[in-house]
Amino acid sequence: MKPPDLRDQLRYAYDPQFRGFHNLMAWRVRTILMVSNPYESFSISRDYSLTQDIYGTSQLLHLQNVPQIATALSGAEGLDIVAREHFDLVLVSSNLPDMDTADFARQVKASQPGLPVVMVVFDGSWFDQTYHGVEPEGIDRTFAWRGSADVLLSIMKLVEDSQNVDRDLAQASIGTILVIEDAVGHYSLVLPHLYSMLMQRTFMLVPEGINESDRQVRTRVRPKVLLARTFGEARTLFDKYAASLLGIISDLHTFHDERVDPDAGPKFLREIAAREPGIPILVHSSYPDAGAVARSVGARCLNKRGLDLRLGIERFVLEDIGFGDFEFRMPDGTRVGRVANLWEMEKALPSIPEASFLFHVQRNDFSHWFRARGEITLAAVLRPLTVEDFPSVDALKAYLTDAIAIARRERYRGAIADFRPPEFDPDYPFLVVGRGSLGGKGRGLAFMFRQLSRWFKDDGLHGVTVRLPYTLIIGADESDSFLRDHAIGVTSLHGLADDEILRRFAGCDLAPRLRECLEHYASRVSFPLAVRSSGLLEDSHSQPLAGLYATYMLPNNHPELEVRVSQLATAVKLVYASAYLERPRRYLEGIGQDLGEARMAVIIQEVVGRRHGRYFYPVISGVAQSHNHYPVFQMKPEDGVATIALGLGKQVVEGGDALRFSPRYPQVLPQFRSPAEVMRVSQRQFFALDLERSQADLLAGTDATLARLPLSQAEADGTLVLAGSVVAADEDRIYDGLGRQGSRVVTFARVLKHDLFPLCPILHDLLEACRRDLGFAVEIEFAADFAAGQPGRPEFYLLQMRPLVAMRERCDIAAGSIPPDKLLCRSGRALGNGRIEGLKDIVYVDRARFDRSRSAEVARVVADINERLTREQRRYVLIGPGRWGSFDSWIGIPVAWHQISGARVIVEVPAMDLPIEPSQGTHFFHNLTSAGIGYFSLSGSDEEELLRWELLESLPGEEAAPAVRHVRLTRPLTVRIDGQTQQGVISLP
Amino acid sequence: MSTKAYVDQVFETVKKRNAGEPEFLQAVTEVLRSITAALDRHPEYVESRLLERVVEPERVVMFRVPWQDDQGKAQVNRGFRVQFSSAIGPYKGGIRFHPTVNLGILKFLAFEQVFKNSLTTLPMGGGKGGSDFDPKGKSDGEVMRFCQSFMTELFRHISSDTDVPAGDIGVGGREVGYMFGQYKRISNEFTGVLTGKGLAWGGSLIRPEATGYGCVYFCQEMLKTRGEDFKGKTCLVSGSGNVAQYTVEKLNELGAKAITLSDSDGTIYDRDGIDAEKLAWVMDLKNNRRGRIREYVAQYPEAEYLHGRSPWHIPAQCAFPSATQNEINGEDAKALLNNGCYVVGEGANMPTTLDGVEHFRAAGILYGPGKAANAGGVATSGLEMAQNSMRLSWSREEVDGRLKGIMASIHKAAYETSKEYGAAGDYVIGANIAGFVKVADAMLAQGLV
Repeated sequence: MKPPDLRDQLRYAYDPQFRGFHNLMAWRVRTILMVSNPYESFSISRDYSLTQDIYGTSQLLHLQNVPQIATALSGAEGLDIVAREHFDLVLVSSNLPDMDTADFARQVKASQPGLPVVMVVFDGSWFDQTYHGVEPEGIDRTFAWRGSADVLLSIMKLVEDSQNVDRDLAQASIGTILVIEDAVGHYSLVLPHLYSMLMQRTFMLVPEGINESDRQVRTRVRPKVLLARTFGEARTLFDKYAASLLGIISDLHTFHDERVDPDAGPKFLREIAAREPGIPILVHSSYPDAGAVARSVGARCLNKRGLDLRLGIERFVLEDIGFGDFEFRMPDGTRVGRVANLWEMEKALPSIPEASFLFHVQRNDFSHWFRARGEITLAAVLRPLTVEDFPSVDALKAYLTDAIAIARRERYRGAIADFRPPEFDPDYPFLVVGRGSLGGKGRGLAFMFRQLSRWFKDDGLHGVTVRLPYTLIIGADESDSFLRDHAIGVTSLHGLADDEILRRFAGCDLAPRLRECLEHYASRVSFPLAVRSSGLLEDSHSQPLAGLYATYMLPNNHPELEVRVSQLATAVKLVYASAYLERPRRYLEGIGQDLGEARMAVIIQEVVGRRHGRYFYPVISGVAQSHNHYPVFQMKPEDGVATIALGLGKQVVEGGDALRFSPRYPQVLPQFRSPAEVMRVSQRQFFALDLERSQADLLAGTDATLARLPLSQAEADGTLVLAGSVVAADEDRIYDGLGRQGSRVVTFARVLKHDLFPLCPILHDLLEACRRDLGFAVEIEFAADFAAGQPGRPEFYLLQMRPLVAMRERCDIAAGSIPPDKLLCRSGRALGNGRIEGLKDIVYVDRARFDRSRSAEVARVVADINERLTREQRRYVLIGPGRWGSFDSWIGIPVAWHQISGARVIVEVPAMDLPIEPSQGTHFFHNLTSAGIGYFSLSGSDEEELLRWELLESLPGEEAAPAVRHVRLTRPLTVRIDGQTQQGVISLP
Repeated sequence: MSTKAYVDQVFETVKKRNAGEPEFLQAVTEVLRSITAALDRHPEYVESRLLERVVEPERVVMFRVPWQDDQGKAQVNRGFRVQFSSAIGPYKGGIRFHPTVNLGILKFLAFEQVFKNSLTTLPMGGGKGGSDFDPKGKSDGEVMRFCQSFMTELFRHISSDTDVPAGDIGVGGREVGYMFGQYKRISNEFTGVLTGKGLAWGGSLIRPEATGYGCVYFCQEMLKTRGEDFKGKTCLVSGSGNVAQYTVEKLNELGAKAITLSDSDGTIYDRDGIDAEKLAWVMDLKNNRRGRIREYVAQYPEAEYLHGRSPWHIPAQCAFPSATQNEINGEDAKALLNNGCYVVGEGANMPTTLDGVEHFRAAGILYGPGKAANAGGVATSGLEMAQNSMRLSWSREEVDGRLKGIMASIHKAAYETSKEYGAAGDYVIGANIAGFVKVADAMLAQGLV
């Protein structure tokens, strides 16, 4: 057969909602009624301290619920209780004082047909001889009480399994184990061993690295145990569950139609060995011919009367069914390797000798082993394949290795795991070490990590893999411990300068356990790392602290592990320290927050990008917001906005030259209106991680490992060709791509215009999904790296997600609430968001007296006022006719940006004789948006809008030049803009 | 009737006829005021009512430009071509795409273009066109569809011998390309119907260099009138864009020493001069790395960086304001004069305030107003037309040589005119009148058309 495409087969096998695990084992035994005579009740309950025993066993087996047990000391009492209360299971003694057990059971069934009734006997052989393996009507199962709680738990589990098996199999590819045994005494002995083994091993194997609560959920993939009392029953079960069957434990001779049929067992086993070769079988029999029969079907044999029952079952479960380590053996039995998990298997396979590999392939050992680990789909894909299906053994090996890699990745999607050093799989995408909050950023990341796999089931969007970089979060409690251990507090840091604080933190040791974790991490990951803060207050809904704390980038490539770990530990400590530096400290004081709340989690994240010689960076980094406060042209606020740059995201988040656009209209780039403008506003340099600074002194600052590089470096690296265009000065035009001489500019034309990479559809879908699931506007940071014409799927990385704080606080702009004499201006085309207060200065150009031919002179006067106010550190409201910052002195006041840099709010009103479109989209406008300046535009045709010139004229001030006035108020005015409705008002105090 | 009364009367008529076109009215006022001396000297202009004729465009075309946006919606803009004067050659002037474009603005621009073109001494009439279409925020596809629709109507009004539009605000190489393509397609001819074309399909070399080179050539001619040249002269150059860079390049070639460059942050002052190697570094800085001029001092530590200052307080013999409008005010002009500056070549458009200009004129220095000194840009359009007509592409040296010749001609025309009008060496008067007289004489010669 042709080997199937692994991706198709495995992609959907790991549904991210914990693969539906929450829905498994829906039916549980929570309440049990035990009906017995007083003596048995006493024997069971007291002598064996049942409750305590059950609780202990439950703990041992990682059970999530301990059943409540009610007792009745007679059949009548039992029936009475059943009639009144709800039970999930009735256990009934074979010796009731007042009625026949079978009568009792029939009456229970008559009143509640679905309630399972299990008869408990003290002597199994009595039952076998009395009933010949067939329970009387009304009794579902019979078990022999063996004096410990594990039998009771087996009864519960068996009942639960029989209730859940069909539903669970329909939902997930879980396995089944068929036990064929008619002797009550034997299966009452075998099943507790089997369940105990399965539950403990399942818990251990549930994927390496998953966190505790998820592990609990995932134990629900434990194989179901099916008990058949006869081979007829076994055949029925086999026919129904063959596809999920992991193994069979079988007696050789059972009661069949009330007589022992000596051939039934061998015949059945041979039949299934032929139908499903390779299914592990344990023949469990005391008959002398058992060994021969077992050999004939390739089964292991265990003597029923032997003393090694428990050990035998354990070996069968671990070695044959595959719950243990995988031992690679040569055909002669020589051991040539051993692996404990999928990651080790993937790494080991290439070096396993061909003979050993083939030996295990022929025995279907791989598929058994996968199946036991819950890797049912992987097992199912591999099982029918033979070496003949591949051109070579190596091809089969590669296929298998690939299959494991895909399965591992699929399994990890959307699951946050605890970092456990010994079994740490570096391919695990999202890990948490230590306890405590993940911090604001961490929370956002964790949420996105989970949501991504829900939103995009096929791994990505538009042919691009969308994922988070590999992430390890250090819980916030670690920062508490660090501060406590080293007696660092607000008071102890009082009066220290920033560099002293940093040195103080750097000089302290991390807790040994944390450092050990970091060492394990650094020893296994080889990519560069970004170490970021994730403060408890940071990025939270109400506190915009983004960008206040530090991020360190580490090459993580020093040949000595100790150096790498030391850099990583120092970065973590310096990130802790960054909360106590002057800027965040002042900010927190300013907003009335306790610095004691500045504790933080730390995010250690893979740096996205690829190596280019000594530098490392991605092609695209950027920030996107689902709400655009400054929509222009056909854009709507909800279309969102993105800003991107070549290289590391520092260029964007720190406000460097970058490209702003709406993902909905990627070709609408007003700032690129001419080649000269492109030269002026487009990116000139980019940031990269310098891989040769693996020992940089991080105390020198967060830039210690970074390089700011010219575009010529990107051209030499082959990255500019993906993002660049050429300005041909000779022709006054821009050519996309770099295929000619001229000035290199970053336009991302090949991405935004020519769809070299589907950035816009990805951003559009992501922002849409964020907004839908969060219910409010968000900002994401992202990076993408790709190379034209190279094989492999390009990747888009989501680096951060935070709520857009400002958007949470919609500004109340109810103009009606402002007394009419205080309302100065109202516009339905206001851009920005929020409340602007503290402004006492207004500079305005009276449009009635404004002479357009003298606009250059007006510009100079305004610039002079601006310079004076800026010197005095006074921000102001600027009002004037026409377009501020226009290159054409006929249509507005031709100021340069720096000449009105102190304006906090700008109001454009139409000139008396010329309707003028607002400044939208100019470079001037670009500055406006990036500086967060409030912008009011009055169209002259909207009845709702208003600017009260007469009020302005009445305010005290000076006439700086004809038509230019500077007004100073004694109390500040208030500006309010609702970013969602674009309504804005300015009111006087 | 006195000349002044005649001019006032003409202006009143113009005002009545063109109410609501303040830009045009202002341009007419300025031109008429600047040529009163010519009217005094040439009564035939008055007698043949030449002013009334010169202020009226020969033809105005206004048309609908329908096009489809990326959302499939129909959009309609208004297109114009003002063919103002073909007295000395085919109409020549840019096409502007900007939302503020209206008939008044285009008439004003076309009117000014008539005299600008005339001053170059090349056979180019004056015109201007455009649309209220805003290419800003439009996709390439939308711009192309608009340009094609625009040309689908315009093509019937232009040709290489009738009207040769060029680019202007909102119309760069991309738009010229789209329009040329459509013209070629529907007229089925490849002719020089537009200038500003790509080098591979009819464009001319030296375009970025033309203004800077031309300004230096003009000043060289001014110096010649005093028997001097640039050798050994120290020069202040402001700005650091194309005009400034090529000004310095040509100054170096001619043996002068440029000692400053600037941007909006400040000025670098290099006493040793910005030689060819340093200039190459500046060109890389500004054109490729697009850095700030202050970085110069990190590379050349012997230079000084003057933050927030312009170059005009530094002693030098020549000044080349090549940055922006109004960069030399009265005080700056006085400082220049006090420091011994006696050559000013305006590479930028109107870089000197009226106050500053008066200081220069009063001092009788060699002041080359932008109208004449920076006509190199316009001249290359003429050179592109010439090459297209000849079906030839000149080498860089050939274009440069012809540019030099044109600047010499402009200088000669302005200088001779200034002499003729009794203000020898006043290039403001010379340039204003020379441009007008050439057009006026041609109109007279061609009769009442």
